[in-house]
Amino acid sequence: MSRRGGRRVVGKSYSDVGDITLPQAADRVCSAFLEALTGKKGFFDSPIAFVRQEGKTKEIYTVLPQGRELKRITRLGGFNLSPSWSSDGSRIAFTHIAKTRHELGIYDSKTQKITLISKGLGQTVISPVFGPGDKLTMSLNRNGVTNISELDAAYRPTRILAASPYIDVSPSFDRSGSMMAFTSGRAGNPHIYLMDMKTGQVRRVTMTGKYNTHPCLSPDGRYVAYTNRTANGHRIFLHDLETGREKQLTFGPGNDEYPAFGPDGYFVAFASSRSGGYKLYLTTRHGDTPKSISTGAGQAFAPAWDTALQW
Amino acid sequence: MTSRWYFAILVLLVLALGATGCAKKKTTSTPPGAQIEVTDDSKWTPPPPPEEPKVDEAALAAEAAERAKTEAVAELTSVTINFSFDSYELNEEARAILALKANIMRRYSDVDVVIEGHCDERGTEEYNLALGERRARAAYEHLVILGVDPGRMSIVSFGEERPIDPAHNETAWAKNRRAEFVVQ
Repeated sequence: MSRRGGRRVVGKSYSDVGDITLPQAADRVCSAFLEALTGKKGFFDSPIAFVRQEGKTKEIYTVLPQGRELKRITRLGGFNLSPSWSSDGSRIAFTHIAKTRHELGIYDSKTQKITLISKGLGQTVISPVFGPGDKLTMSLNRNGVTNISELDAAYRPTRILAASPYIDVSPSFDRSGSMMAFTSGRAGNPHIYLMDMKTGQVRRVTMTGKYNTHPCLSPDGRYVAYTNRTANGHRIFLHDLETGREKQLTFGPGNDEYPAFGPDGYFVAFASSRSGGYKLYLTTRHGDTPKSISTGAGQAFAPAWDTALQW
Repeated sequence: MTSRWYFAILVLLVLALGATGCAKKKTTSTPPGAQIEVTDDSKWTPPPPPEEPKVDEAALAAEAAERAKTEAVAELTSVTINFSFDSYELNEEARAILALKANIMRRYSDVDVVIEGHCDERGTEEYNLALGERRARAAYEHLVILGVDPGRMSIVSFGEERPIDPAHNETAWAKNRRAEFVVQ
């Protein structure tokens, strides 16, 4: 791509481009172009895992941010919630709710197999994510309180990261794994907290509002996007950890929930009921006008962006 | 001559009538005061009496007990306990309902329950899963205090996934913030 008198930013050629491969070629050239311009890559080729409503069940799907390559991941029945990616994008962890208990679900794209784990995890498995060193980290309740625990490679809980007598859920890590944002009810109602993973020190991030949940740390660790319950519904807010400034990114109507940073830390995916049922949308960390992501029939929730291309 | 014949026929008829009429009676030449045996050898037999209800006291009691148990289980499963927004505190009404449930569970020791925690739609999914868990656990712990064997109960949170009332108003939300009891 060049213009007269300018410099060539990026040049790519693709052979055998047909009707089917054209979108992929377009995504690839856009990706290369964006990387050349901004030094950030991955937006066009990083899939978003999400939850799709199918009748009375919810199943996990993946889709590219422009609505291409919609792919079903689970067909388990019940409720399959809270998908999240391993650091290399090869696995997706999620919560599977059967009739009498929660189970930890792991999808491995290499084998195309799903493993369900419940032994030793108790009745409750909430918000599983791959933490530092790809160790699975999630909220479990093994002694009467809901705490964020870390599991070893054999899915055995080894240590509790955030412990309080109140609800602690929704861990989110930056790329280096040095910080964990999470939701805690320790102040009487849910707020966003940040834990320094080296020292274990916890500090409260949100000071206003009465219901701040579902934090997502940007890959570089500078921003926390979260859901703030306002009088008019949930809205996505952004907290700049460097300056302490807060900015409202979305304005409804309805509810805007589940913010998820893309691999570049610039785009933010979220789910919103602005058009009736919940669907996925994209905005930026500046709060640009949201663009809808096509995900087919059924409501769509809980986007989680594969950020492997930034690792 | 004719009249004499008539008379004879009449006498025969009377005798014949008397004979048939008294065919079932067998007079014996037993002296007066002795018992006269009367037998009835007609072929008529009364219809069998309606299936005699077996008055088996034990079976009756078992049936009543089974009925009482069905009712108790219905009571156990049909009545939910409800919570305030973002709360897993048991209010007075919830405690009263749990006391009844504890009685039922203590009486029927073979009845195991799954306690389901549910939330209204206004929170966010993951926090609601935790909140639903705490609601189910609050009920579980209270039942343990009231003497129900913890091994007979398990808990599961559905968060906001299974509302009773799908409407978006306070009446629906109040119904949906609940703990349910499902007999296994």
